[in-house]
Amino acid sequence: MQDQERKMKAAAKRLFDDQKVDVVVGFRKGSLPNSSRPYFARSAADAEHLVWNGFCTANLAAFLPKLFEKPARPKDGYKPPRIAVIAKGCDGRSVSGLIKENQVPRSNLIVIGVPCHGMVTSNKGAKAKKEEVARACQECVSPTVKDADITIDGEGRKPAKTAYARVKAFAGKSSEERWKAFVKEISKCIRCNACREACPNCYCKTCFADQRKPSWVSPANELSETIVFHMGRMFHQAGRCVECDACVNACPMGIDLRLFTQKLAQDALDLFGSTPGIAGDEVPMLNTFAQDDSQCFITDPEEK
Amino acid sequence: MVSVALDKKNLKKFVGAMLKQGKALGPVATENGTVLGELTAKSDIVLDYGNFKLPPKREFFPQCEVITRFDGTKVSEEPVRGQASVIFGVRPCDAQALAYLDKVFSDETYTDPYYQTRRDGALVISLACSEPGEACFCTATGGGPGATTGADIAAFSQSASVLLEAVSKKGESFLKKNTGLFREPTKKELQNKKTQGSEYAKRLSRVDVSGAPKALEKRNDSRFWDEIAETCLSCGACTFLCPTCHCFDLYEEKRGSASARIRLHDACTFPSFTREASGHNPRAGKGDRMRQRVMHKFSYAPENFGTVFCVGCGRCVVHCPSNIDIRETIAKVNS
Amino acid sequence: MSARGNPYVPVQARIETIVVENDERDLKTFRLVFCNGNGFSHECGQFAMLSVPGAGEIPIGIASSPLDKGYIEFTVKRYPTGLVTNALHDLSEGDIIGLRGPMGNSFPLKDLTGKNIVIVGGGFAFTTLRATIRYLLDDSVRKQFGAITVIYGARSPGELLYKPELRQWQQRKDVQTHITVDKGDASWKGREGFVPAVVSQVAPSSANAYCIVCGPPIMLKFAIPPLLTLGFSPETIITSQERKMSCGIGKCGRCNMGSKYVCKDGPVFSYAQIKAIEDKGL
Repeated sequence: MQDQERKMKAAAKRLFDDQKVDVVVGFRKGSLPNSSRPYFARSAADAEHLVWNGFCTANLAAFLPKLFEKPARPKDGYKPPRIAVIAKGCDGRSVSGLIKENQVPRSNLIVIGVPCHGMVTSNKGAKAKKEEVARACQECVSPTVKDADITIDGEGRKPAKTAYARVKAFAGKSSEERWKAFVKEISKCIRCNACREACPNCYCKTCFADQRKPSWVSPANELSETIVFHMGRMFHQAGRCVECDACVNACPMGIDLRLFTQKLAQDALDLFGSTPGIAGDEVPMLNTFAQDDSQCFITDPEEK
Repeated sequence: MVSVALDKKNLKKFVGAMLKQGKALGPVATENGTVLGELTAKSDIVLDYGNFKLPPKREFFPQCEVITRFDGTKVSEEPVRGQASVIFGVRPCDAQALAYLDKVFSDETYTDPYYQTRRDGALVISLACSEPGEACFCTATGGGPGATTGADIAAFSQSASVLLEAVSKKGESFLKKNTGLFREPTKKELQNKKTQGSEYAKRLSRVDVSGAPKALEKRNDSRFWDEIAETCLSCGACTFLCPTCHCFDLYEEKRGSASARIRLHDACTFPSFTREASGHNPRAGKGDRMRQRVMHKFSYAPENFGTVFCVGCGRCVVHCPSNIDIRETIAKVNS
Repeated sequence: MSARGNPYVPVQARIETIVVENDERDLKTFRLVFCNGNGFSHECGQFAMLSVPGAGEIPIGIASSPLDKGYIEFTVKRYPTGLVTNALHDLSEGDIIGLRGPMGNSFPLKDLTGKNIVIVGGGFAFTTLRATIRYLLDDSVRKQFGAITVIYGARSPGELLYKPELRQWQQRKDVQTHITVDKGDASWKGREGFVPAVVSQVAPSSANAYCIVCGPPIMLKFAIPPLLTLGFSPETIITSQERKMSCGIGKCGRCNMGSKYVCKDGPVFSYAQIKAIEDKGL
């Protein structure tokens, strides 16, 4: 992995030397033991601080929409920045999604794909445990970006064959059991919005939860409001969520959001044959329809 | 002031004494770690935890509470409900934070009755720390692992006993009332208390907080703050977990012709915190909001209250999804 | 509201009259009468929190003079995105709303006795200035002050507030009233020009004078330089600031400019105070 880090830094520096980028979005050493954190390198000297290790958990694609956002009053001769992003497989899938949704201009983006060995479970202040690969990474179907602009050599994890076993087991429980489990998890929520802000797909200028005319949900962490917030946010991820666990890692309360994001991913696969961000040229799952699409959800909702 | 020792074999009786006062909260083990939970006669109090993830300020300043109601004709004040009579196990940093919040919620003109009723009605027993967290820096902010400000009683856990010192009259009254549970502390116990504290303090992060207010006077450069806030996500994790943050919003919920006004925690890190109906936003940029957050705690609070509004608990450092570290920010400010 | 009472509970007031002030019909003056005699008195420059049950609360400057007995007035603009301003504008005479106040500090009139006062206002920031002018022109007060000059401008003739009063002031000898519009219309016979330009044209003397100036940020930016040129100092230029507010009593942390809360240490600040705040960091 240190070899890959060396090559990644060299690639980043070369981009600056060749004046091909304005910013390289990557990771640098964190301020806590066993941690790395997002970092914007703006020069070859900055690039010296880039790291690549098992603590690079954040999904860097989350920073891209804002970095590419055109200023409200652009100066004369404004040109969008040229940005490179150090991408694990999940970051790459998110980038793919953002390009499809017109949040990131393909021509101004350079994806530097690094082979991912899986990230270490994030601990958040708990006593240091033996390092173990995070569940999201154990179940990852695409550890390495397939069509990066620059690919750093090396072996990454082998893709898992996700069968969504945990989600299926949960779905097999009774309605009361599932509701009880859901409420127990979601009651931990303090409505800090870390999950939303860490998610690359949550780039709406005004989130539905922040709208006041009309007000769909209040900011209170009263249970019904919290449920509506999470259900709303989840369903807005249908066909878009890449199961990167950015939300899970960002959540200070340790809410098991993965159980719900995986259900969306399983439905996308089973009902629509879609794995978001993998195939290069698919239209977003819910943005298209065919004449022979099943109508059963209207005509016969009980049909499975 | 009164200083007693409680043998650990009498902990359950001590819980009983706390429960006699009314609703009691204390450190209990759950599958999510040790939390400040409601105690029952059967509760096993945990004494060797780091700190609660959520700050105890929430017992006095809840995340959401109804403050007034309108029934279609008249407005009425909502009574304070469910408050605790005893809160045991508040770490010294969090107790110090309560003393700071006291200054905000009750000033020379206005007293917030909702906060004050809860504060007046609760006996706060702090519990000195034995293990620093990975991001703790309480000594840098004027506190310490055995500090007593903000508490009514300060407790110090040792191998076989817990020392309890009255800090306020309320605390002294409770100890005297339950004198049968306690005994005189031994010389060794008193000595242990001193060495425990100083050993611990050696392992804390060093941050020059005292120089920050002055240094901040020269840090009005927006480029400086834009750089610090570059990877900030503008979520509210740091704010909602901070024991001294007190920003709130008043939100109106309607049902038919009746309505309730609710006080909610809010965060100056949220983009819409200062956005006006006209669309104008004085703190539209992340750098502006980062500057506000840091200055509020390390410049404005010292000016208005004589103290920085940070107790070095480290929660914001541990939980920031981008690992923006206030200790590094202060070091940069000072440099 | 004393420290003993609950500062979050509003008193109720009935809407007695509603006057639409402008052609665009988005500025209304509400004359309110306190219910059950539970009212409060105020000083010029202060504001109150108006609450519409079910919608929320907003801070609005008090537009009536402290000497106007039996009622209290507010002029409120309807914002397309505003929950409360829209709810308020949809109310009728006879409806009941809530008031919390008076809040904030006031124009330092007690310190200005014997001085000349220049009042400069633009747009609908003129409300607390109107309260002040009404107060200053009252028979029981007028003698305490020197010359009074008023310079007030709006975008167009239809957007001028308090038109009947403006006409009255223009008839009086004990106040020099200069009304201007950015752009007149066919029937407008008065002055045309932006308020800052009119300040330079009227050129009120700064000798023994203070200037109270209120307006949108852009107007203030251009109105202060001519005042300084005329010899007013940052200490003798008084303004009123606005920020989004929630509690109005200095506890919710929202409305600060630097270490000062607009609701508690303001809304009235001298230009010197504003500069000090901006130098240290907003």
